[in-house]
Amino acid sequence: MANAVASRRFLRGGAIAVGILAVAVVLEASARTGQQEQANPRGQDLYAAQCAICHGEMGRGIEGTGPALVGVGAASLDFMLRTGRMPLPHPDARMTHQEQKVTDEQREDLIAYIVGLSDDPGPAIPEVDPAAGDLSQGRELFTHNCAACHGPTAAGIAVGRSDIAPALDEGTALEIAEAIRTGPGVMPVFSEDVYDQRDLDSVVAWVLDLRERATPGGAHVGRSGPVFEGAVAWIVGLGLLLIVIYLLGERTEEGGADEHDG
Amino acid sequence: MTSPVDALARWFDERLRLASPSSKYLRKAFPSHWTFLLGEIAMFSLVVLLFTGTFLALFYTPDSRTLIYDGPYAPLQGTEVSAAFDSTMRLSFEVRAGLVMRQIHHWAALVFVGAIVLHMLRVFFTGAFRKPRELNWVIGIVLLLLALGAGFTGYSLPDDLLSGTGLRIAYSVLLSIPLLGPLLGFITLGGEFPGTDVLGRLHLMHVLLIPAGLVAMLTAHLVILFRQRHTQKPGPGRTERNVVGEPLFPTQAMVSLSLFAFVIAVLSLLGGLFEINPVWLYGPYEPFAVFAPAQPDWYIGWLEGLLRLWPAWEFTLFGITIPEPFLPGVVIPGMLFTLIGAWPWIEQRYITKDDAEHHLLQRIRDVPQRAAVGATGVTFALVIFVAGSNDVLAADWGVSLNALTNVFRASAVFLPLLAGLATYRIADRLNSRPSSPTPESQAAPP
Amino acid sequence: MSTTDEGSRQREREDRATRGAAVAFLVAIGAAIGLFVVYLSGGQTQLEGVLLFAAFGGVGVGLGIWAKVLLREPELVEDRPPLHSSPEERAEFVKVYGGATGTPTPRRRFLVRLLVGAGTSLGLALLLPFRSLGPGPENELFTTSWSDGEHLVTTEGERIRATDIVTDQIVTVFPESATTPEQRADSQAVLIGLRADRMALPEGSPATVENLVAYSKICTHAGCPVGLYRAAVGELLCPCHQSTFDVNEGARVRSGPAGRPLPQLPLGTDDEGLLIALGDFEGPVGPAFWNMTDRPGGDA
Repeated sequence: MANAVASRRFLRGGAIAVGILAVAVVLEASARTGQQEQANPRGQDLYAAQCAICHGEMGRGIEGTGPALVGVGAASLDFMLRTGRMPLPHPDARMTHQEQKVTDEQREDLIAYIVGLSDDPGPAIPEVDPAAGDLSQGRELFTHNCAACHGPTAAGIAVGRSDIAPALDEGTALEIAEAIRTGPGVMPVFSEDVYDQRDLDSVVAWVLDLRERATPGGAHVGRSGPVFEGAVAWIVGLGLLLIVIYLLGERTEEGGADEHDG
Repeated sequence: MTSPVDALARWFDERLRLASPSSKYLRKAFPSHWTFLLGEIAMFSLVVLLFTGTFLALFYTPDSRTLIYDGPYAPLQGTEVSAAFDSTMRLSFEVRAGLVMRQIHHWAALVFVGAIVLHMLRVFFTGAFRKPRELNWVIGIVLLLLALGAGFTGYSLPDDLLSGTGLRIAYSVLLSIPLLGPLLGFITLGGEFPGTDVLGRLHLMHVLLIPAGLVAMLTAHLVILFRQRHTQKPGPGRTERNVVGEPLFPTQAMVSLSLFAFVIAVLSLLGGLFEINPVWLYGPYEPFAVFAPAQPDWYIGWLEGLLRLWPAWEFTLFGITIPEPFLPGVVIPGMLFTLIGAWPWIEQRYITKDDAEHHLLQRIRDVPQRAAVGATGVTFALVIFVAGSNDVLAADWGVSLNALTNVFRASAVFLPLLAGLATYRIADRLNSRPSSPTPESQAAPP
Repeated sequence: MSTTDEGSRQREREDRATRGAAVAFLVAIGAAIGLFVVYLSGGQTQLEGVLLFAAFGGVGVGLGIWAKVLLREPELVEDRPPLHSSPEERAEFVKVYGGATGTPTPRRRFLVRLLVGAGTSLGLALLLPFRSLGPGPENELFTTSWSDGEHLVTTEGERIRATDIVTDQIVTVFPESATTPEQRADSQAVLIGLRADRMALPEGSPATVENLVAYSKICTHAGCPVGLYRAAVGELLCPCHQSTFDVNEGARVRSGPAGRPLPQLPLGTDDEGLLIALGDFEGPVGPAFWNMTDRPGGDA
């Protein structure tokens, strides 16, 4: 008789404990999403409207369409949004530098939301101060690490299959720094352990300097380099000289007897 | 009352007996069609090269020992560079008129080879290489090869990242020769790449050996031309047995002088207004660094294209590895230049069977096989040349680099054949039309 | 009447031409003076070029007008005698030559043959000094400066920890002992952080450190540094002739003219977690050469 009573009490206690636990869990979960919703209701809406179609719910990614954004870090997100590469009109479109497609506020909301989706915030938006960099060091680092894909004048080039490393004539210091640290698209990553803050500042300083530095030799056509020099040599150089010899020489074989009279 | 010119002429005449040769040679008739001036563009470009080159040589040092750059170009300050690179920087940024002289020199090199090619095409398609001018044709090919060598050695002298990459490729092509390759490579460089002697050797070739060869061959070329007299286009009053043209003095001399002035003028315009080979942007050569796009100067572009297009066929024969670059880098160019050099004999023996002396030029269509072979060769050269810039084109046109390369591969095989066949057909058809035949085509064998 | 008209038209033409040539020469003089001014005030490349163009262009225009319009030389018609010597000239030559030396005798032929032999052998001997231009290749093409225990360093000479390299990162590395350009040239390598789920190195590949792999940076086609890396697709591209190498599969050639994969460097770590090599590359680096399949002295 006492056993039956004791087990009923035990069961009741257990049910209450489970109930409290369940309520706690539900409250916790809703508190978390509530936190998101309270902190980034705009971010979540924006994500659902513009990003989820390729990057999936909660930034989990969709195989073959859009990579997972969970843990990708604010730097990468900021880069993609600032340079107008994202949102991409469709998954196969080429990512190119454009006007930012969202407002600054929307960008910040989106970043806050996506970063909040994971515990590991991923690489943060880097600091960059070109003025603190060394121009010479930057030129050397750029030559060793960047020129292979972006060219010695940062004019970009085709890098295999359909990928094209872009020209670096647009883009702010921050955007360049973000790209270096996160390796967007097919670009590799250059992390802080190997290239420290001073290196970063220096490379960015050089890239910015390239845009303004005068070309003492005169006009440079396109990317510079022997391809364009050859074109100029033929079109301008030989072109002009062909005109010259056409004017200097005889043009017909009708004999010169009539042209010059004794 | 004698003028100063008369007095001077008399002074020389009293020592060299000049009156008779002067009256003989100064009035020589020179056919003066405008296409005959193409060779002179090349010649005058060479003169500009020699003059500007001498100036540059007074400042350049082929020394590969390193130092720390401390000149006025800020982005390179503090960087370790070779003395050769440093001397090039000094010439470009610290020597007054240095940069314009350097740029004129380099533009002159590009135009020099271009003019030789145009001149060669004119000679080829008009049959001017036929007897008695086969020897001059071969001398011309030698001149072209020397010009290519001068250009390659020349742009490698600044020891910059772009030209150093090209040197590495040349060394690898040398290495690819079976049995002798590694030995030749090590001998040429004085050791394994990069070697420390290479700049000095390139320099010697570029400022002494090759220019001596160019001047000697050009002299031979001109002496033979003088002796054989220039060819002429057929027309009223022109036969195989006469020369109709302008007198050397004063007309041709003045025309040539005018052209000389224009060549200097155009090269100077290029040298001042268009930047060429900005080595400060490329930086000093380091064997572990490289950038894209990486192309050689245009006249080596055909070889670059061949190396890009040739498939990855690397195989072993009797235990000997035949490296992939051997065929496109050594064998094919060797065969092509041999074919071109031997063309007068090939054509005479297998196509026209005509070994008579010829001084009247032909129209392009007069020997359809020659026109076809020429069209095939030119088309092939153009395709592989353009293919050498495949990455630049892929970026500019926004197309896949791999797909474009495959298109070029197919084009290199099919387009020349198509061009050859089409040219043959067109020439044939033009020949069978009942237009008034030229005296030359009447004399030409069927 | 027509001839005087002709005559006066011709004179007008010549007057115009003279004026034109005169202006051209004056432009040339002006430009030459300009060159003095530009040079003496410090020089300026663009101005120098334009003024040279004007100066020489002026001379060219002036001379051209002079030659084409003002010189009224008649066209010349000359005989073009055949280029071969006449029979009389040939006979004369034979007489002179034959007279001086007579017909070839056995004695002369014998001596000439020996002379030719001397010339040939001497000529070949005179080529010998060219051999002094450089050493023979010996083992050089088969080895680099890497050896067991060598620390990996960056271009700046800093050692690297395995934990420094993140996924999708690429760093150019050298053996610590390689300080001269010659030593760095053939030992240059790339250290890559592969995506672990894509790694598929072939059987028997040299050792890696987790997802870190190192390959020779020298393209096996024509020796350029393979400097372009597309991390997302795991492909190294050489800028010279576009050979591509799959870094996840032992740098095998995916496209382009290279004939063999990039040799891999065996990696390990020392007790401080710094990256070291465990030996030389798995094969000769760089472009192929005829005897590369005979490795003297066995593997490194």
